[in-house]
Amino acid sequence: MSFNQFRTNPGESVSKFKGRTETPRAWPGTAVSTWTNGGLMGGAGYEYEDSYHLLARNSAYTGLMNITNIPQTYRHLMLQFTMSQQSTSWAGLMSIIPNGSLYSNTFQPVADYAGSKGKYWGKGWSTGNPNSWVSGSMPVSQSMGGHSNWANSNTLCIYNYSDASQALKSYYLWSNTNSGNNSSYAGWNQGFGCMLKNTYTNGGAPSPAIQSIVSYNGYQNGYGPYQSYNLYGFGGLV
Amino acid sequence: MPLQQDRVVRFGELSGSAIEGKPSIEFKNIPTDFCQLNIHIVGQAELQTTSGYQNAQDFYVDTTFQDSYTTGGVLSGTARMDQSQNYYKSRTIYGNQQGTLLLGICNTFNVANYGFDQFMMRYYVMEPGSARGKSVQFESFFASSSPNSTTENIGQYRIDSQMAGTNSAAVSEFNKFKVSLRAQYPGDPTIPNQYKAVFGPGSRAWLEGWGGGHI
Repeated sequence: MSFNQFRTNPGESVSKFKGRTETPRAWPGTAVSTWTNGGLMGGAGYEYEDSYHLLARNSAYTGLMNITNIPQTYRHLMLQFTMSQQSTSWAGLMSIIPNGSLYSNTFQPVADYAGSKGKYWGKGWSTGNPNSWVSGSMPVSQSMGGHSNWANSNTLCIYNYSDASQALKSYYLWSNTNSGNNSSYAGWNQGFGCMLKNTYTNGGAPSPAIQSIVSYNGYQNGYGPYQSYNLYGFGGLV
Repeated sequence: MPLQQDRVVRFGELSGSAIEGKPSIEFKNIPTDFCQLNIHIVGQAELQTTSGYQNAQDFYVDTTFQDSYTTGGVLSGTARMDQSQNYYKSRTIYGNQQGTLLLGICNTFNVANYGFDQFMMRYYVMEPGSARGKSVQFESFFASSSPNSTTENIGQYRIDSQMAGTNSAAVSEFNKFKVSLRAQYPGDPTIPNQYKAVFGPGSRAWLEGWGGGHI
């Protein structure tokens, strides 16, 4: 829109408005910020709805990432996070587990998502030598993770997370890590999969709504200064 | 150049009977006064047949912008397919004016819903209402049940008329978009080994406008 976030005052007839960019004039005396959830019409009858609402954030926590009581208000979920641990060796890929309990999971999903499958591929670099890899079928999404002071960032999108009747709960993950040392490792990892209750169930196998997300790695000693997350709902209210 | 604070909005969603069972979807008269337009499609691939034949096969997406994919546009990109722990094959898309990408291998027939053959597609176009030349970025991911492979596409589609010669005039605004699904063996689903590719159960598509106004 070309309108600022000010109250509007039309002062002329609606018939002189120029398409959608002047649509705000049809709502005189109201703050633009109040035009939510279809309050503002787009071209061709489109109705606008605000998206990417911040649901939760946290940082500087030690141990594993543990997000609970995720609001079931949006259709899709986007989680941006960093993960690290304090051991001197890389923990390997770090699992991101829906509806799991802290410290109780290994690299397997909980029973409600036992049919989940995903695949990953990525590329890494070390002392001038590039390397690429492809995973086998994975039951959970997995972050590259980091250790010590490695830089690490991830974006995970989960579709239909709040819909308990939906078998289509696919996810997409982008992950990268960097040691900051030109003789050591840097790499990225890209994955896609679906969170299923059961595999090969005709008619679909809806998995429960995702109420919580917990990470897991073998060391379980997350390094606070290098851990944070932002959780967003997007794609419309349910 | 002043920065402008604005909204991210979602609109134009197609779900349920508006997309399930349909071979194509189209958005028309898309508002163009966004800094960026994103197109999201999340769904399941489905092959319809009544002949009794059910052969897993490649599943394609044909994309058109402004009613055209044969003039003024070139698609380029890479499709990468993995099977189990092995890199299976890749296809470099270059100079493809049909706007076609290989979404993945589909093994879901009729409305049988095994939860697999799920995919996610995104298209991004910057300043859809500007008079400048523009390209659409795309990415897709497909998780197949057969033979347990995933396919990824990353690429771009140039939608101005630049391909006719350097410095030629740019195309007009971007406000119309259509994707059509196509089986490797397309045709009449009543005929043996011919299939109709459609969006399966739970599929959903929507538009997303980032910011407002372009200069």
